[in-house]
Amino acid sequence: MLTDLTDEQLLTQALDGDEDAFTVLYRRRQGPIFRFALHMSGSSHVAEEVTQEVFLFLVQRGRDFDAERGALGAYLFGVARNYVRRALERNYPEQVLGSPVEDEAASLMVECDPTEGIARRQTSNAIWKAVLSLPEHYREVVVLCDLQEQSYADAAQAVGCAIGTIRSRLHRAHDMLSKKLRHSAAVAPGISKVAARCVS
Amino acid sequence: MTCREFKHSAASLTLWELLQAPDEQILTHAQQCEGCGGWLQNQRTVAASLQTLQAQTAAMQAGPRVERTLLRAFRQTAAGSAPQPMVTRVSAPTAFRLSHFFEIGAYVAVAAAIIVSVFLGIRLLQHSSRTVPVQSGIIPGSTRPLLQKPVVAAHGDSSKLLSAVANNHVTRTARSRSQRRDSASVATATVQTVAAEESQPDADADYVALMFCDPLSCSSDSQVVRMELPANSAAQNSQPPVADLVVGYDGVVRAVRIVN
Repeated sequence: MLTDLTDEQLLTQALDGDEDAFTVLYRRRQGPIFRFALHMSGSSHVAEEVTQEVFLFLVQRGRDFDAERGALGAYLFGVARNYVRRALERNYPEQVLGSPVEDEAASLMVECDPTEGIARRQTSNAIWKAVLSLPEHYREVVVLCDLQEQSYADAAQAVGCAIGTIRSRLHRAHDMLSKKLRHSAAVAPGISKVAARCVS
Repeated sequence: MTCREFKHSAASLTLWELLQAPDEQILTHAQQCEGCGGWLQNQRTVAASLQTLQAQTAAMQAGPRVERTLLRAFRQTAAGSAPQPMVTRVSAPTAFRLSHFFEIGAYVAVAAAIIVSVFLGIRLLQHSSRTVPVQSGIIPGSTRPLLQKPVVAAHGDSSKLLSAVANNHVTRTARSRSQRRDSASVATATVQTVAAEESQPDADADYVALMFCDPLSCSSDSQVVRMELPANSAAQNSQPPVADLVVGYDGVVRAVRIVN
């Protein structure tokens, strides 16, 4: 079964011309790549474009991947990171930093309590805006480690820096997010309540 | 546990580990220390917010169009041909379009500058070729040097010299220049010049060359000076003889003509 194979094995077969292996690999990895680009850019359009670019890159230059240097997932995050940066440099003023959770993600939530649903949505919007307002090198570690749940080692491989750098950036990013959320809570008090309820 | 140890221990944990049940020592210190307790609470708030965001976006993924495009590219690559470029891109941002416009504008400006400089260069060459001193030559059948751009002395007889210059095959430019000088120095001679040219077309034939005239040195400015010869040189004549001397820039007399 192809689904039992590792990413590296699937890539090897795909590069040998196995379309099914490529499809399995794509379906396994496209979600995290898409969400990484989405969290980094705030635009689903940019995220789709980046996802496509990443796997197109894999098709064309997949043989450059060296499994001894790290996992394929971290490699793909690193490629995605570069494409996201290019997309952000192209400056999509009408798309980037929009209101991200209001459309698709919000519709996926099944809310038992409407009041809580509204407050949760406010929380999501506030944290997403806070994440998007972070400087890029802080944002990418938050997205990789906190939202994509990558290990520090994988994040370090994707970003191309030391693990200690990832840890210190993450620490600093959390402090910045905390300040931003406190500021948002001062503006919209429901956020801290929902957060407190989630914690308890 | 000190505050420093608390921060060090907490920093080694991930956000999710802080959100769940951290170390007992950490919790104890957070309860005792207000500052560290507040910090831990803020971190938990951040973790909870990020968890909410993560849960909301967990199901999001790329659309089927991306997969179709990639599979098409994969088949083309597998078939040995280069894959098609990206699908429809987002319209180019205004900044990019403007930069592209300015890039074209820069090329146009450079091309225009080159054309203008070439034009000016040609004009300059033409101008310099006009102002190059006229090469003197030898009149066929005569060994006397040519007179180039003579300056007529302030005498009424300067019209003869002008006609001499004109008949010496001096170029039109040199002639007009000398005529301009004449008009400045001898205002009344201008009208007479034309008549003199017609009546005495070979006035320079009276000049006698006193030295070999190198074409280069003779082409420089010279001046015609009218002077009376010393009385002893004109032995018994009642009137002292008058001569026109063509004096070069170096003060050497090039030619002489006896007027009377």
